[in-house]
Amino acid sequence: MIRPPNVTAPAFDAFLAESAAAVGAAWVKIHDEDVHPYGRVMVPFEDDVHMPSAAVCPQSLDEVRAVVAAAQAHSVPLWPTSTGRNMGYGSSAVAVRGTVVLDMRRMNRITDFDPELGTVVVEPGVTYQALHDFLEAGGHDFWIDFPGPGPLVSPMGNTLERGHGMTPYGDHFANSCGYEILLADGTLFRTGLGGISNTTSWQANRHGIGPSLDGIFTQSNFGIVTKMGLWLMPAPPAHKTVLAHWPNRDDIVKLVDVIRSLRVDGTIANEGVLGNATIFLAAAKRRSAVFAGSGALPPDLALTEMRAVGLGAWNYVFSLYGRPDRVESDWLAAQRRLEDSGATLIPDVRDGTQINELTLKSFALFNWVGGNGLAWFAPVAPARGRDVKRQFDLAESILSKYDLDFMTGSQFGTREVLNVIPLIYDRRTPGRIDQVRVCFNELIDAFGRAGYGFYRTGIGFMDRVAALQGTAREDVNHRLKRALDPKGILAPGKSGIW
Amino acid sequence: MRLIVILAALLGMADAARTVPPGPSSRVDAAQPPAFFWRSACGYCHDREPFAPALLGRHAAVELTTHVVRTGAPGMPPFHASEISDSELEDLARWIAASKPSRERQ
Repeated sequence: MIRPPNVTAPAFDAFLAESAAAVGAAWVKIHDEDVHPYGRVMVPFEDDVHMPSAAVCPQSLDEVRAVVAAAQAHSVPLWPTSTGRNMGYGSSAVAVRGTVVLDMRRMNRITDFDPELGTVVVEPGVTYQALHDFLEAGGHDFWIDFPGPGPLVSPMGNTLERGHGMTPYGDHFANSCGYEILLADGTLFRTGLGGISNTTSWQANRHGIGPSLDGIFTQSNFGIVTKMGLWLMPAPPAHKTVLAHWPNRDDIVKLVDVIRSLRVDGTIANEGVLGNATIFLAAAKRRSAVFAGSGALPPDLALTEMRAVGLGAWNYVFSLYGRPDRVESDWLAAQRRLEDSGATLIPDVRDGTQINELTLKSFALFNWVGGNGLAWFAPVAPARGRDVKRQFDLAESILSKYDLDFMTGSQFGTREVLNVIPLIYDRRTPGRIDQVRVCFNELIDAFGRAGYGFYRTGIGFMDRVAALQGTAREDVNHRLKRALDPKGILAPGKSGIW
Repeated sequence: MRLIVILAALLGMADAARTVPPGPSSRVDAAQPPAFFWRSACGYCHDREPFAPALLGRHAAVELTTHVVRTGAPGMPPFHASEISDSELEDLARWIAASKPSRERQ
C-alpha cells in the first residue's frame, strides 16, 4: 500500500481510522481497485507516478472538517477534488504520490437559488448536468455555461481551475461570486459579503471591503472551497451561431486582429472557438482513416479534407445573443468586418455548447488516435495576430519533432487568446509517454523564453510553469501558503506552490 | 442532445429527467434509477455509434459494464462509488444488458 511521503504507518493508520469515524468506513477507500481509478491519468506520466494512497469521500462540511482535522493531526496531505475530472490536466491524480484524495462528489446540493438575481450556491459535487436539470425542472429561464466535459463535471471544480466555456458567461471565475472556504486549521469563512450576519448580498458583490480574496483560492492550495456562488445568464430572447472560415494558414494574423476588434467592442459577446483544420478533422474522423504515413499529420492533408466539406484552414464558431434586433444588428456588423478580412461565413450553424445544450461531443478528440493520452498545453497569447501566429508556429515546430499533430481550439477573451492545444497520443505505444512528456517540457521552456505564460497546467508540469512567473511571485505564494497552511497538508505542489 | 431527449421520452425517462426537485436541491445518497445515469452520463456517448460503442440492445455483459465504469476505458473516465454506488451500478449494468437497440426505440 502506498503511503504519503514522510508519514509513518501508525500515523497513516490513525488518520484513516479517524477519517472512517467521520465519514463511515465505506467512504474511506484504501483498496487498489478503488484507489487506482483515482490515479488514472491522461497526462504523459505513468499512473503510478501520481497515484494517491487513498480516497476519502465526505458528504458534508462537518465531515470535511473532521477529515481535515485528522490530516492536520497526523500531517497527512489531502488533494481536494470536486468531481475530479480535469481530464488532460491530471484527472483526480495527485501532484505528490501518496497524497490522499479528498473526493467531495457526495456533497452535491444546490443550497441557494435566487431567481431575481439569477444566482445559485453550489457544493463541490454539483455537476453542470445537475444544475441544468435543476433550472429546467423549476422552469427557470437561465442558461449555464460549461466546459467540454460539461455533464460530468462541476461548476465549482472548473471555476476553481479558472476554466472557460462558450457563452457570454464563459469566463467562469469572473462569473462566480462568494465562496465558503475551510482553512487547514479548521477556520471557516466566507469571501465577499458572505460574512455579514444575515447577509443579503453574498452573491451580489464579489469583494466587500478589503482585499478581494476569491482569486487566491483558485488554482491554489490555500484552503478548501466548500460552497461557491455562481451567476446565471438570463436566457436570451434570440441567438445566432455563425461559423467563419478562412482559406489559408497565413490568414491567422488578420483574422485574430479582426476578431479582437469584434470582441473588444462587444459585437461578439462570447469567446467562441477558433480551430485549425486538424482539430476540426479530429472531431469528425479517426487519424488512421486519413493518414497512414509516419510523423505528424501533414497540414495540407487536413486542409484538403476541410476544403472538401466546405471549411477552411481556420474555422471560428461564435454566437450573437440578445433581442432579435440586436442579434440582427450585430450579425450585419460582424458579417461585414469578417468578410472584409477574407472570411466566408456560414450563418445559423448549431453548436450546443454555445446555447445551453449539454454535450460530450468534445470527447470525439479521444478517438483521433485512441489510447487515452491527452495533455492540454494552454499558453496565453495577447490578442494580436502576430503573437498568435508566433505561438502557433512555435508549437507546431516543436510538436512535429515528436510526431504530434498540431491542433488548437483557441478561445478569444477580449485582449487575450487562450490557445488550448491538445497533445493527443497513444499511451499504449512503448516509450510514447516519455516522448510526449519531453515534448511538453520543451514547449513550456520555449514559450517561456519567448515571453509567454500559461492560463492553466496539469500535474507534473506545475513547478516548471510556475517558475516562469519569477522567483518573487513564487516566494509570495510560498509566504501565503505558510501563513494559511503551515504544515502544507492541502494539495502540496498545486500550481507549483509548496 | 435532441436525440437524447427524444430517446429519453420514448424510454419513459421523462420522470427521471426531473429527479431534481424545484428549489434548492439534494440527492445526497438518494438512490437513482438506471435511466438517470443513462440520461445524465452514459447516453451522451453510448447512445449510438460512431462516437463510442453503442450499448443499447447489445446485451453487454453486466460484469464488463461494471468493470469498465469503475476503471474507465480509452476516452472514458472512471466513475467512482461516490457518484454511482455499487448497487446503482449493478442496476444500470442490468438495465443496459436488457435494453433494446436505440433504433427500435426511435
